[in-house]
Amino acid sequence: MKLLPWAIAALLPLASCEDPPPDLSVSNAWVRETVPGQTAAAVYLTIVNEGGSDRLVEAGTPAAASASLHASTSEGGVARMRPLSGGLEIPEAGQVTLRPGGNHIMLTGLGLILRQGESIILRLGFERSGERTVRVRIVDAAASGAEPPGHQGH
Amino acid sequence: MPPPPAPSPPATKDIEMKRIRIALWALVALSLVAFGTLLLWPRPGPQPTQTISQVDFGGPFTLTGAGGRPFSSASLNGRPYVIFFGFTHCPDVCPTTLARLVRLRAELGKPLEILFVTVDPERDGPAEVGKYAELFGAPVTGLTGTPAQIEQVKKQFGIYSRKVPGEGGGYSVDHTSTVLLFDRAGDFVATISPEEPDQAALDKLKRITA
Repeated sequence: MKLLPWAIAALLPLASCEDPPPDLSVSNAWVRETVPGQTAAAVYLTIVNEGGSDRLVEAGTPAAASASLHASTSEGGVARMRPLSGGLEIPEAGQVTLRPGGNHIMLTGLGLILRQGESIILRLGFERSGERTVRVRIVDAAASGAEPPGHQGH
Repeated sequence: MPPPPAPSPPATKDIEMKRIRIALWALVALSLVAFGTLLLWPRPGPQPTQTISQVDFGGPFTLTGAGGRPFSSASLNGRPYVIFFGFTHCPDVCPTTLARLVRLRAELGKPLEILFVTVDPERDGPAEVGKYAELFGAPVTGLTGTPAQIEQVKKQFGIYSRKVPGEGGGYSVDHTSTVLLFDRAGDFVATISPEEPDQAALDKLKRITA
């Protein structure tokens, strides 16, 4: 049909109207201090996206042998932890917060004791945005929220 | 108009009414007797308790504390406590729960024992649970034991746990996330779940420390 090429041509502009590029800001990255013998720790942080959708697909740190996304769930009174093997979607114009009891970046094979007041470097790999490096502050273990230690309530 | 029916002989009617009245009063008397009997009949007393391990939820138990010292639940007598089962290689739920309990206890402002029992005795020995318990800057008792002892205590407290192999040869442990609350008499009173808001949790802690 002679019309088909025209139809395709008419639709082509739509195909180029894909997701705008993501525009990510990573903030408030924190991890609890550890004691000798502890090999695992959980990093929490907030990602604000002012652009198109993206996906957090990998993480790494010199402080640990591996860093990977995990989801904590508590169903029927049982706590479980599962790897997020597909990564974590960062929605367009959205925000993702890794927090206690939820998604987090699990560090295993910790190579050092995490001491309150110090920090570690965390490398995040995004599907579209590429690599980002963040400083993760180490907080007092009694801290339960993303707010600085001492904050009461939500 | 048809003629009125012949009245029954007055005497019979009176007798019938009298009988009905007697019957009704007898019924009333019977009801009163029945009611009184129900009220006053001696009921059987409480059943004698069977062996503690079958009926009681919770202790007694003996585990190992930091430094390898034996820890007996008898040492808790007269003191309310909360008990939570987890493992030190748990990066999220366990530190979060213990941190929360420590924070709530501070808000409560009363003495309260916080017990942390490992469901991973293979990796968590006395040194591990001892150091882990010190993380929270306030008294937390870390407990471990032989795998058999841990299994026994898990049964007593109705705790579930299961090893889950992870990447690279390590493993995680699925486990009951509920905190169990016991009062001064050592009786189970309530639970606190991770999803419960702080106020509800605090109210329960007030009850066991009253």
